[in-house]
Amino acid sequence: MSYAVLQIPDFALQALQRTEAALAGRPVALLSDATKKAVVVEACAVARAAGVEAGFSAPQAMARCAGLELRVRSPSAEQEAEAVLLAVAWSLSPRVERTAPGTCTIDLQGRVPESNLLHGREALDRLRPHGLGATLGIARTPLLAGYAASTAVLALEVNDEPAFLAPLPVALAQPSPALAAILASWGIRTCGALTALPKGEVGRRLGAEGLALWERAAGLPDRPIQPAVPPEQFAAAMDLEHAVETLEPLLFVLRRCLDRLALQLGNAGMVADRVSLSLALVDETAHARDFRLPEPTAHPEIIFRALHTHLESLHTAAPVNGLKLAVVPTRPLARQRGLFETGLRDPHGFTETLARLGALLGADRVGTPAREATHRPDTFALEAPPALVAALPPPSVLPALGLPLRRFRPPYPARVEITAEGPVRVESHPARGFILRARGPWKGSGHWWKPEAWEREEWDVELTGGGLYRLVRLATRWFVEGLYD
Amino acid sequence: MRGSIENIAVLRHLLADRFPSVPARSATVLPTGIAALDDAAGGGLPAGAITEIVSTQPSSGGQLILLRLLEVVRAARGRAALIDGTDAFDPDSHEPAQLQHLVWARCRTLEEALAAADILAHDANLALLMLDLRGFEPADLRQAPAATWYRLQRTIARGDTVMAVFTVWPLADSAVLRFRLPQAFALGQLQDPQAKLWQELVAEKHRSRLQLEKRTA
Repeated sequence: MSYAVLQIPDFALQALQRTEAALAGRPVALLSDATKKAVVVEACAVARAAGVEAGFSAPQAMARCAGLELRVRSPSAEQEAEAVLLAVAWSLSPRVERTAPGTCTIDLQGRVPESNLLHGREALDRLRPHGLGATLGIARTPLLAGYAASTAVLALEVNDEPAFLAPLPVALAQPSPALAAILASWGIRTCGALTALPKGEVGRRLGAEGLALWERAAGLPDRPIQPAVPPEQFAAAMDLEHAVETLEPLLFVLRRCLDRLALQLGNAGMVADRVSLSLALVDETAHARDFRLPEPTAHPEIIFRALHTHLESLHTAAPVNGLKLAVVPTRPLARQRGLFETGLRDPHGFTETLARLGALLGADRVGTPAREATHRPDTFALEAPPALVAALPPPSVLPALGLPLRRFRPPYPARVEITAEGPVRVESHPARGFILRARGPWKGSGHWWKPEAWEREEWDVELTGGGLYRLVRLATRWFVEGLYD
Repeated sequence: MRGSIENIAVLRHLLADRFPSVPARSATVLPTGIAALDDAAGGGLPAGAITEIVSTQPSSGGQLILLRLLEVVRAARGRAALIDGTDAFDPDSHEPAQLQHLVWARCRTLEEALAAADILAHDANLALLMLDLRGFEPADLRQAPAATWYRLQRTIARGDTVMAVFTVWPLADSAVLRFRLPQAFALGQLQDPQAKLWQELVAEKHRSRLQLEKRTA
């Protein structure tokens, strides 16, 4: 049996730092709360190097480090970081315990012992792009693995337990303050010094609490871990301490959430089919949008591109102070394309192109035209292009005739001289002059059962100077509807 | 003139030696089935290049070519996009099944049309990209900077998309091929099958950089 413990030092601080790009490389300290009496509870390495220590008040900390960024804990950021930690842990084993905030214990039973350290290091490498630096300990019991993680610079596997425990500070075994004072007065500072004392004598003098401490110092108590349940829903939520008005900080947080969701999807062997984004605004309204991906994917870059394209053209009425991201998972496609199947080369690129066009022209002005169930001219709908272009149906028995029409939208009003034979002259912006030949009228009407019934008379005309136009009479008014070209 | 052509050839060889990783222009063409175009263009419209079709007369067949290009790409189950500068495309003139592959971008201004062209030119999924600028006034069209056309050409040349630009005025300086449609159809021809109209369409080739390249290679 062996266990691994993944531990994120200064967890609350790291969780917060990874959500704000502006904090990278800057001195940051975390305050206990937002009151005036708040004290520093955690400080980053840069702040510590400048002399900031836990327990300082905010003015004291600022006095030591002028450029210090002070923040309070963000529960949503910690929840996100915890989810990342667990997702990485689940990539090592299905039995993972949420031991403490920023700490998880992994049951390595069933794994090849020789490769545990190597895979553990890989887990640490997987955490790093998520903005989390962690340490790893591997040992026979969860307790020893926890000690190893606490003392490791990066990763440590305990093989010789007595030699490992002997120099460890006894504080690692978490004595109560009273017990710690007694041990200090005895001159006992290490686990090795404590366990060198006879267990029974320690129990007689320090009672049950002392006995438990002796056992912890010896790394003895073993305990079963309480495995956490992997998430069934793939969702992320983040409250932003400072409302954002620009795209970059929002994208930064969004990418963090997306990377974590992609990690969880990968663990579950799933891919994203749809993504829902909801932005909370400071005026207590929200902007929500669903994205259907052209092809299911777990690749965060592709999903991010779809979100990025949408957000680039988004203007909200108020700054954003929170976001929710939810992924609807599906099983990955496991079918091979047909030899003559002509799908998209780059489905995600196509979706991005359509999104960018929609942002430029308006979503209602881009798409594939589809005829509507009416004979009314120029009535159509614009639909999303299909994922696959189907084979053509058999051609019509009757061949297509004549030139296609180029419509003037809206049609140009016209003055038309008409005789018994038909129109003889037209005056309008696109068509002006005598009519050489004319064909018509073709009468059409429809929607008679509605108040907005339509009735029209069409003429096809050829002008003496060239050009074939469609003239339309609606009641008493004439229009040039289009040019045959 | 002869000397300048040789200089261009030498320059091309130098560039080819210096940048061997730059892909050579694809030799594929899109046969249209319209004799006047295919014969003059060496089999069809070239992929990875801009072809400009200038309608100097109303009803000279520009939209017929557009329709035909859509049909050809549809038959091959490729993707096509139409940037409709003045929102003039008429879906009723086409069989619905013939438009399943089409992305129709309905623009209102020249700026919108050129920006949409820039977006679509980067999409590798398209077999055909058509930019219809015929409804704009020539004065407006002249406002489009020449660099726009060279940028489009550079983008299109990276892939194998056939790009056709429909204008009423020679505009696309970077076009590899330019056809003028000088002859208007007559009213009686609206009764003729379109296959007959393809054969009767008159197209004059006014520019062919393809030929120039072939000659100087």
